[in-house]
Amino acid sequence: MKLHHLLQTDLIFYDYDIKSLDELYNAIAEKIYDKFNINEDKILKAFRERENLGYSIFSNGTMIPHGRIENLDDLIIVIVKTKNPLEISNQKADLFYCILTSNIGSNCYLKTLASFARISHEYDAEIRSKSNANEILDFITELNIDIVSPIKIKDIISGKVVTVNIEDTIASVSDKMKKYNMIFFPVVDDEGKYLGQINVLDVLELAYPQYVLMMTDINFLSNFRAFEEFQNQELTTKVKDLYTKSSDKTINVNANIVEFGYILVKRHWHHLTVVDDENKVVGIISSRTILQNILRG
Amino acid sequence: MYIAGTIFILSYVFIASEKINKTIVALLGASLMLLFHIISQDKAFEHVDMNVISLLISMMVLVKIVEQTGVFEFIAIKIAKLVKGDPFKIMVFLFLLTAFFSAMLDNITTVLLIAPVSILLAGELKISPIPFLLSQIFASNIGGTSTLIGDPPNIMIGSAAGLSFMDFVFNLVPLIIILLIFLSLTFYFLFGKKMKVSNENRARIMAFDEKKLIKNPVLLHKSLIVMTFVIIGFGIHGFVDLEAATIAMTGASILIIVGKIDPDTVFKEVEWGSIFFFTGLFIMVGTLVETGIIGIISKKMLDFTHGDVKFTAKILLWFSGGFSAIVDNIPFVATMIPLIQDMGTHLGTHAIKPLWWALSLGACLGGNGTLIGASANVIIANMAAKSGNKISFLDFLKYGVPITLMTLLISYFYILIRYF
Repeated sequence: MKLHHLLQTDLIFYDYDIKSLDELYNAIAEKIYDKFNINEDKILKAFRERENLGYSIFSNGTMIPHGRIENLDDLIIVIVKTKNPLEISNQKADLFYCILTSNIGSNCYLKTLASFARISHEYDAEIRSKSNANEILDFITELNIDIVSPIKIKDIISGKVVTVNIEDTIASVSDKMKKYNMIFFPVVDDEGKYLGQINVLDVLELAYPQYVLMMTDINFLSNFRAFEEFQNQELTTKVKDLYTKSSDKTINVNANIVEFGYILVKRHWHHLTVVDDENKVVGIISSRTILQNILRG
Repeated sequence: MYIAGTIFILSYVFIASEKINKTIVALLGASLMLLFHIISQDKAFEHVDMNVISLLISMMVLVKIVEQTGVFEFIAIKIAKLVKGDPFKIMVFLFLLTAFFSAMLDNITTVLLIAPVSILLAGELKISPIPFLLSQIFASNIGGTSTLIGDPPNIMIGSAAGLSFMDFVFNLVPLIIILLIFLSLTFYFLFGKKMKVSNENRARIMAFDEKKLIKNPVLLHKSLIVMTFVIIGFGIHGFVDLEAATIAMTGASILIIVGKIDPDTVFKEVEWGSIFFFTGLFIMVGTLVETGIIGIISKKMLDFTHGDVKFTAKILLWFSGGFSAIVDNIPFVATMIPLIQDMGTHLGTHAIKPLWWALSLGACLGGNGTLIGASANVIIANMAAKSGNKISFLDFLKYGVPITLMTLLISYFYILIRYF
């Protein structure tokens, strides 16, 4: 499905003369009531409920108000360009992509949200250069944005990659974990190719050798030699002794978010290493990314 | 008949080579017997000894439940404290404890429970865990020999020969006690003098609070009550005309109910690989019986021994001891059982009783010969290696070969004196 197929010129308002966000919501609610016969109070409530979690305003003056209405089996989009910027909690916005969906969410809802976020990041100047509703719709039509094909991993990973080399000592891994406030790193060879991963529990294995893990518990101990000798061990043990070799805890940078979410839910994992076609590490992606970009984008 | 023999020998070679998972080899061998129409499926499944299979599964279920109460580790730690952290006494008592547990549980479970505690104790005492672990390998194989449920070969022998739990106790336990005393003395000369620990390290052991291991005393009490009844049941099953499998199955079912255990969770813990291994083996050996191969070999053996049971027992003991030291004793015993049964039809079932004991002793004690002689040996060796204490194949031979020879020799005289 294409984004422009969800847009209608009578729900795009150019040079709209209003003074406040409340006024904007009221106007939108009225239009939607006229067109779809949806209770105006419900519409206002939906926007405000989402707003309580924080405003989705970008620094370029774009805002994406969105909300969920119980049993609304639809996805409704209203685009508003106001004549003058509105003051909203110390920020300014004059371009609004308003989206309403049901409480369970339409298939295209998340992608629609993400698409508008992308339009705002990449084509803000072009959108603002248009002078009426038809031009805006034509421009979005030209972009030909697919909203059924999901977002790709490469669109949402952050740039910085921290990895550890297979020959590094465990002490240096612990230091790095503290420094970057991370609990796992991809393990790479000298060429930066992915070999596996090491997390804080792998490091802790130094203190808890395999034979103790086979016991029911060690709560009867008041002292435990392996634990006491942890720091000496840390200096002499290397990543290659403890890391987990795996090829399935990775995801290709061209894979999409649906695939990613599926792996997390199915395997109960919280993060994956993102690799390119040559198996070089290009980033990491975690369940937090899903929260920040998708669930509460 | 030739195809059956070929399939069997090839499967045996693959099992011994350990290149392919033995369960898969056994199942594939059994499948080939069926695919070539050497045996019909109905007939093949008749040879699967459900008495053995259900006894194994029931005991695994029982043990998995009791194991999670922490009682086994509790006893091991308690012993270490009772002997005030004295390393040699710890070694001997854990040796005897391992033998006792192996008699009541399967050997693998026993070493999985005792060996980690031993490595931990040795670590705290700052001594090598290897003497502890070696002694436990020997204990698991010797202890397992003493009862019907102690070792899979005994389960198979008991089921096939109609020997009860108490038959094993009366016939084998006296010998096992002699062997355990003999080995304890051997250990004293080998390791006793060398084990020295500092006062501080000994104090570390005494600071253990083993009561904390018992986290679910309610389940422990229920488990102990059920286990007591199961053991009493084993004691009398021969007199009340019930199979040991019936006793174990009843005990397992009752413990699952009264212990409020989730059946699916505990069933997942059953070692299905072993169970299917037995199934495949039974079918392959059953085919040999049905095709008459076993009958022919048994006839040849009778010709060779002139029906002399004493002579046969001697050969059986030494041959199965040597063979089991190198390859898995389960397929060996599975093959020998129909052979001996067939000889029994000529010599009389009562007359061949010593043969069953010779087979059991040879097959179980032979496991001590090499590091690959029994699964428990391999498990301990792996555990030792992972804790930074490698036991090499040759190192083990230095202890394994003389100890196996001595225990077999003692068994040899025991059999001669007691039965002939």
